[in-house]
Amino acid sequence: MAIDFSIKVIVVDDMMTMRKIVSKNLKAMGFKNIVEAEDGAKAWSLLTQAADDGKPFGFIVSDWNMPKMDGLELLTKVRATDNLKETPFLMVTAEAESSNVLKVVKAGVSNFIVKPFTPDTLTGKVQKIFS
Amino acid sequence: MKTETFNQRYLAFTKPFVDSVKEIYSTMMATEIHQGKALYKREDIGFSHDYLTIMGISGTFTAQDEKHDFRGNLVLSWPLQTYLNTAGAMMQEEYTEINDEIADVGMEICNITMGGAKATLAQVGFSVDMSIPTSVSGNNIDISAQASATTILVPFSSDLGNFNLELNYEEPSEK
Repeated sequence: MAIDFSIKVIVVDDMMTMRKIVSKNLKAMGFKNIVEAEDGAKAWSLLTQAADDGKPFGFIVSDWNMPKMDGLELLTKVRATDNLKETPFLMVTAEAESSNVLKVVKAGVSNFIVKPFTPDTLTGKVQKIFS
Repeated sequence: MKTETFNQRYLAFTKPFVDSVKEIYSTMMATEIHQGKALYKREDIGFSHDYLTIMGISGTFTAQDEKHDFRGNLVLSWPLQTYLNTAGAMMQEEYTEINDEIADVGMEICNITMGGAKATLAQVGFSVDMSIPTSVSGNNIDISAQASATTILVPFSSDLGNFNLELNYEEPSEK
């Protein structure tokens, strides 16, 4: 299945560096409509607003460790909300411990990527989610 | 015997951080970094860099069913030009000054270093809690060695320039 590059994508990370790196790689893949948020709370507000407006985001890429609302809480809220729960969710994390991986898998993550990663690794994860 | 045990423990504690930094540079900056001779930092080992990021570390070390609390800090520091080169390699851009876009490159490297080390540390008995890193930039910033802690300084060289990793480690119960 080809990826629909016109979908709205939200990239969530408290570090601007990582938001820029992820956004740049997604743009290079072909995604045209990318919005950035600095924490889970801001992302949650944007996600619910967009869904209520009938223009929902089609893909979420989120860091795990963030202030205010972390990635796991954001994922849990997304999966518990009727008009958001089907949204593909890629979790980015610096922690590769298996107990953490299990937590996000149980919470319904579409895929996860461990930092540090190469552009090819990110591209591969995204393609897998949409295949 | 106590000192010997502590040193062995300290070596086991340090190596995952060094390996993690190497992997970050290799993966995200396509740069091989070379580790220099590690030094125990004393007051008289002077060095100073322009950009510095610090993360507090705390946790427990378990060996032979005995738990020891520990705390410490991870510090990464770069001269300005090395920092700009590092940020440029990571973001695939060219920078001549530290701006908003690259102000947190150091903190992100610190985060990933700790995250990568954490998994390996767990395998050798360390349970670690991470804090959120902070950064300081200026001219020739130095951090004094803490008298109560063991501090090791690991210098690195690369095509992007030289930089340092510092780890201090303290077990309150061993004082």
